[in-house]
Amino acid sequence: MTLDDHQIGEVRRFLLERGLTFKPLLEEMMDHITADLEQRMEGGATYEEAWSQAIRELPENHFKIIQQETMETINRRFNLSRVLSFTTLGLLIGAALFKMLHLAGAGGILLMSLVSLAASMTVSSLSGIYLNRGKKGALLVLSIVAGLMLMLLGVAFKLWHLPGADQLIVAGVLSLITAMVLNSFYIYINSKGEGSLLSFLHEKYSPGIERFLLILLAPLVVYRFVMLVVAPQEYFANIILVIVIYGAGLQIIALAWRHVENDLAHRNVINLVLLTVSAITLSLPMLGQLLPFDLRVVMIIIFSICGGMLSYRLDRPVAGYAILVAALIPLLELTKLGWVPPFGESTTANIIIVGMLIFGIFVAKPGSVLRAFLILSLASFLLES
Amino acid sequence: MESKEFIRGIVKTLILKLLTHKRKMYGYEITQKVEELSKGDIKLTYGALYPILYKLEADGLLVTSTELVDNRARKYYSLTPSGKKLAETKISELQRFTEILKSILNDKPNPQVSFN
Repeated sequence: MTLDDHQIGEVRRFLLERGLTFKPLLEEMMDHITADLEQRMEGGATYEEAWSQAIRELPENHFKIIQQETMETINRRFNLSRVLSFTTLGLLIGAALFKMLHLAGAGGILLMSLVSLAASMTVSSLSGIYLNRGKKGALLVLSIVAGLMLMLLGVAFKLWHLPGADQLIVAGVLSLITAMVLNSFYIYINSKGEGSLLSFLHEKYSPGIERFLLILLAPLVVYRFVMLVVAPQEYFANIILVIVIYGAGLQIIALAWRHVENDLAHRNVINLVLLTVSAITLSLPMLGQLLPFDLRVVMIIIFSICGGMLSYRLDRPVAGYAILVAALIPLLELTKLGWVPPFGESTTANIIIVGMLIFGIFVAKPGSVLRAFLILSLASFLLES
Repeated sequence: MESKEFIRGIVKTLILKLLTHKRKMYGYEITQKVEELSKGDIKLTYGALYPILYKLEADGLLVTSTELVDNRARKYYSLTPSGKKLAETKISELQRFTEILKSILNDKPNPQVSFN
């Protein structure tokens, strides 16, 4: 005897109401409780009787405590990668501060932050692959990490004016695009409701990634307003903004993948096209001046529209905001082409637009595609205006 | 039902023992097997089982796989090579400890001995 969809939905709601938010544990508890209920019903109990027997002796905070203990176990495991993440954050902010204050060594600190970021990604992905050897998708995780490492190496080569920087960035971008497009098709064709290794690892790291982006962005927002009043925007803030933009863009795509994997309703051709186009248009502008300016602008506009559409389709509750914001960055890009009069340079416009985006980030659900899209949009606005 | 304080110390060994006999098991299956083998005397709660399963996985002693069963994702646990080695060690340690406890608990006081 198996529970129907409505009954399984009740089990899920019960667990969510009791504070179980960590998805892998939630799914496992659902399976456990469902199996328990089904066995009791096979013994002759009704669904209501089975439910009452199954949860009768559970204390109120039972599942929250289980989740807490489980998260402590998991967080201990990934301790080294957390240390490296905080180190990267500190070094990036340090580099920006050194540059702002015209202190020597800013370039060296930025280089160290890129090394730390590369180390953090390597440790996280390799430990995740090793500890989850039974899950499929290790090669995909490695190819995405390899692509990111090539890009970081290319940026480092550029900072030090070494030859081969462009080649490294091109290799990284092409590797990332290939991996992301292949994964989008793979999920669309093969996914059966279980997550791949990439989704599993992303689910664990996603709150940390979002925090990292927000912590990096916050001082840049303040810095932007100071620069409006004091001096033109410095180069260093731009590099950090590019890191936030690309990080948030990858976050959008990874979150969208998880939605498509876990919910049949999202597994359709439109989302597949949006994911594929997003992967290409997010990464190609990273080639910088290797691509014509107009083409980069068009890519950014297309990605903004795709990001907004993914937010709208996957995070419906605050969806209207996504549509509004999705129009902002394309309009800003069109001012560069001269098709729209400039609007983002005055202090008033900055206050209104930044305020609107910050409000949206606070209101959007943590870990949602919409929040990642708003983070990207805010960073893009700071970069482009 | 047996005392929780005794059970808490041996849950890890029980899990390792069960997984040496079966290639893979899921959480509910583990609790049911323990209950069956103990004739209902030991009932593992979610709180007793799942943090330990995650800890064993984090330590590289268990590996997991997910399968779709009745339209829901079911997570299976199985022993890694290092998990199998540890299982052997822990099971023999617990068996030895049980024998030691038996001999202590079965010891009758000698009526001729006095302590004054």
